[in-house]
Amino acid sequence: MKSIILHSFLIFILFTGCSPEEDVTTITFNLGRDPTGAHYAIIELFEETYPDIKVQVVESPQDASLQHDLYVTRFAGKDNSIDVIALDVIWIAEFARAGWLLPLDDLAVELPMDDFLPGPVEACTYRDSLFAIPWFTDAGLLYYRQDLLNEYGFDEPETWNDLQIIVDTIRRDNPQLSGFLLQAEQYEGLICNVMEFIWSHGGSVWDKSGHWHTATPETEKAIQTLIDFIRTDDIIPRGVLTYQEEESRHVFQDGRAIFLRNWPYVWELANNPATGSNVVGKVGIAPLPGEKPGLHAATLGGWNLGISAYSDHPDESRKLISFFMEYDHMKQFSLDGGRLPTRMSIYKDPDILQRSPHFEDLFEVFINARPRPVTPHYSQISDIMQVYIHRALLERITVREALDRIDGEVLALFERYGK
Amino acid sequence: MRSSKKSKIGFGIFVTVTVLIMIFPFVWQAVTSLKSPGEIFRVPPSIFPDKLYTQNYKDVFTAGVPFHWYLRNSVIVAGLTTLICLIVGSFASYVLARFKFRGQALFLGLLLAVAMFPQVAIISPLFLFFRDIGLLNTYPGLILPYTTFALPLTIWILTSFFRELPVDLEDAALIDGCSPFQSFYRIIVPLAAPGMVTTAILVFIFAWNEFLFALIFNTANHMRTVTVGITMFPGLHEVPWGTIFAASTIITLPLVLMVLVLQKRIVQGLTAGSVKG
Amino acid sequence: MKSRSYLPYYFIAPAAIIIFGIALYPILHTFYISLHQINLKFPDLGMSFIWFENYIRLFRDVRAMSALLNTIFFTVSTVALELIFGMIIALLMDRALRFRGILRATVLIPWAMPTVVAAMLWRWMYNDQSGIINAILVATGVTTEYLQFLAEPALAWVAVIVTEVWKTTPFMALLLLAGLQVIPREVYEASAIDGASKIRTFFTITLPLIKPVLLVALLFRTLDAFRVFDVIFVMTGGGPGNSTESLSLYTYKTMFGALDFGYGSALSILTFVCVILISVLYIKFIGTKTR
Repeated sequence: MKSIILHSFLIFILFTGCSPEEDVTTITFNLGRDPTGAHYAIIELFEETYPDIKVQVVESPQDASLQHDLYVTRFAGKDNSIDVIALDVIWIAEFARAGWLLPLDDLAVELPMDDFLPGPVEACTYRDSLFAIPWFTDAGLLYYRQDLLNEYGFDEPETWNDLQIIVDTIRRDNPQLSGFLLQAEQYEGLICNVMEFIWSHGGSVWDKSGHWHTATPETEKAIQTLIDFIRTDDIIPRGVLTYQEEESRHVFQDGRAIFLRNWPYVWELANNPATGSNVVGKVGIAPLPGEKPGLHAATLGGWNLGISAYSDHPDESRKLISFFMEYDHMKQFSLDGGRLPTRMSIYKDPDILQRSPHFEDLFEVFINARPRPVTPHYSQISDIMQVYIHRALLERITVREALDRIDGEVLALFERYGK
Repeated sequence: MRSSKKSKIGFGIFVTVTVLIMIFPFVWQAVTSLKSPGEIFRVPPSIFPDKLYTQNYKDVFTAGVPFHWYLRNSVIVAGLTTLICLIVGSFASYVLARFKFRGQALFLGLLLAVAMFPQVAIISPLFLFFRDIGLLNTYPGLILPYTTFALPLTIWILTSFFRELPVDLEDAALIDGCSPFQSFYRIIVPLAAPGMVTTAILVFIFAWNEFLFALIFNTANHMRTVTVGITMFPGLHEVPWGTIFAASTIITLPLVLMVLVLQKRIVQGLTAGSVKG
Repeated sequence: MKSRSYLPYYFIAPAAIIIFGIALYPILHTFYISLHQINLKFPDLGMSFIWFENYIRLFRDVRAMSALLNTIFFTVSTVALELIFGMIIALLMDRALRFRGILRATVLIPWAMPTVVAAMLWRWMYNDQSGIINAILVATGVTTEYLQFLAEPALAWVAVIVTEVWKTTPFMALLLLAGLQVIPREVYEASAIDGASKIRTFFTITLPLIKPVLLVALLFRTLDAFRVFDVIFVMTGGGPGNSTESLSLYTYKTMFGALDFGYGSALSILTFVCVILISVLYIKFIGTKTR
């Protein structure tokens, strides 16, 4: 009996799955779920422009690690069901090395690549070939309570020292407020935050000749600063060790913190009463401070469009990517979805500036946002760094020991597999 | 008697405390799902919502995520898995309980081994296998693995139940002229009802809540199941907690109702009547 | 027990076909892969046969051994707690004549919730600012300030164990209850007439009678606990400072993060071997009653 049920289902599914053959090529557009649905409008335009190409949108859960699992499983099986794919900045070197992406140098020739932000382009490049075209970007920013800073007569902090002074002063009268919030749980976001601290102290994970070396005085100082801020609990509350983006946003939005490091998405939410924000109209936004004035750092996020190496329709896929990258289309997508465009000229567009006036001031941040280490090993490196740095933040090991261990394991990886 | 009254009250308190602890998180979730976004993360948390905010529940079905499809898919997959497990499993359990035959211990052992193998490792080969036979994004594509993983538990539970039942009943039935099948369905199954219903509940819940295979095998939106569906609510960085908790409450309630209905069938032991017969 | 030639084999066939048809090949495949060096990121390095090198590496890998110890600790604590609480709840439900249905249905709620959502819910409840647990602890005077549960290794373990025990005790309770239900009332009456106390009755009569079900419940719960993933992944991601990383979490990071399928397969086989050992131990010590 059960086999009859099984068989009926198989037949049912087969029949409902069939569709008549036409002279139409269907390509799949794979991305994480986007509640704004901004991409649908562009795709509609695309299908009108190219009547012989149909685009099937395949949305996965937005969670980056779930998407990564899905794509790894499919690519490992040389699955041809993926054509155009939206890639997280940190996957590109990995997928490129694995041979899962088509090099897009020929496409790049047709596009005005000079107009694209340099950071994302760097993240999309592996061994001098471009494997994805930047679609929209993300960068770490400093949010602050404009009203509080005004009340105490402070300007935006230029250095971490400035930030410390501001927090100390304001908290003296308002001890219930948290000073500076960021994301320091043991997860990918920790590395975003830590890299910003490292870069803003003039440190790096690579040395001048491009070799991996984290155990430098600058990097050590950067992480030690972070630890000191957390330990005293006066500058950074200990809770950040358990926070991801949303937890930190809620505390800030509720009005319980002075500073917040987060992605640009917070801006619209914090200024929207419908989200229950208590800080509507009170929020300022600025580049993150540095050790010295002018040493601003921001970690690059964002998503980029690539083509699967196993796709049966690379030409049609190229057309779709080109289409998204056209000025008008990227502009419309950014407006509808509230996204940061990757083409620099769009940042001067009056419509964009009207919707998001803060883009003008923050353009400096976006143009200088740096990618996390661009290497196929990034996933593993991130994991290694997370483990040791989190231990250092908990003060179970010293910063020096953490960095030495990180260096040891990463160099062993490079030795075993090549960079 | 005084002692029995005291023990009744003590008993009642015990029961109440237990129930409260078990359901508190769920109640907290349901309460939260009725709060507006600003209220949810208030410090200190409010026990009751200021106003009943039902928008979260509306959003579950109107936020651009086809949640009703997901519910349908989960019901079908979990329901059929349970049905198949019970049927196939009870057949196997019956002979394992009643007969001695070669390969019995090996079979039981292998059953366990299969159920206990880390899913992370077998998901890739299984994905390729199912893709090649065209079972991705189908119901059988999930029902088959779920049945595979739930059968060992089914068989182990039912075997232990069947073993408890006295042989005389079947002997009597056979003498009366029943075939082995009839004796199985008419006598054994009703008596093993507690085991059958328990197994049904556990298998259904397992299939309903399974995540990894549902994520990787059924990626098409119209074939997604409800547990993966919940991960479709968050957008880039932003997590709509109210909507997610509302969806979770919606997912859990049918299961609870199902148990309420089914538990009447868990009969208390062997009644005097059946033993006599 | 009669043995009617091929009847048993026919009855077993459907189950056997399904299980071995689906699962046998992947399991063998995993073992095969574990004997090779294969990293998906570096396809040009190919897939070289390296005998048991992955296993040697495994035993030298401090992180793998920590994960194993963490997993053992987690398994022992959760299963012990679930056994105790599950037994208590099952006994309560068995005795409760009124409200039995509602009792059973509500007790099952933790088990009925999807694990991922339950983990998210508890993670939020442990939040150091808006979490209800801190609010309750402070309100009842147990603590004076809000704690960062998930930032202290010891507290994080407590948090994870509490969540897991809450989630899966119903499973134990339900199985044990089913076992209790088949005990005829006459047995209890006889024991009461003999003058045995409730506790004595429990240990000398009830417990032996539910041994088969107890074995199944313990066995499956232990094996599930050993492979714990969702709860830890969602609540702590293996932190703080990687102190709660379980074996399956490490395996997942190895396979899907580092794409090191060879080593990841070896870790899977390690898990598998441990699980087999546990099962053998259980069956030997508790055993099945009728043979």
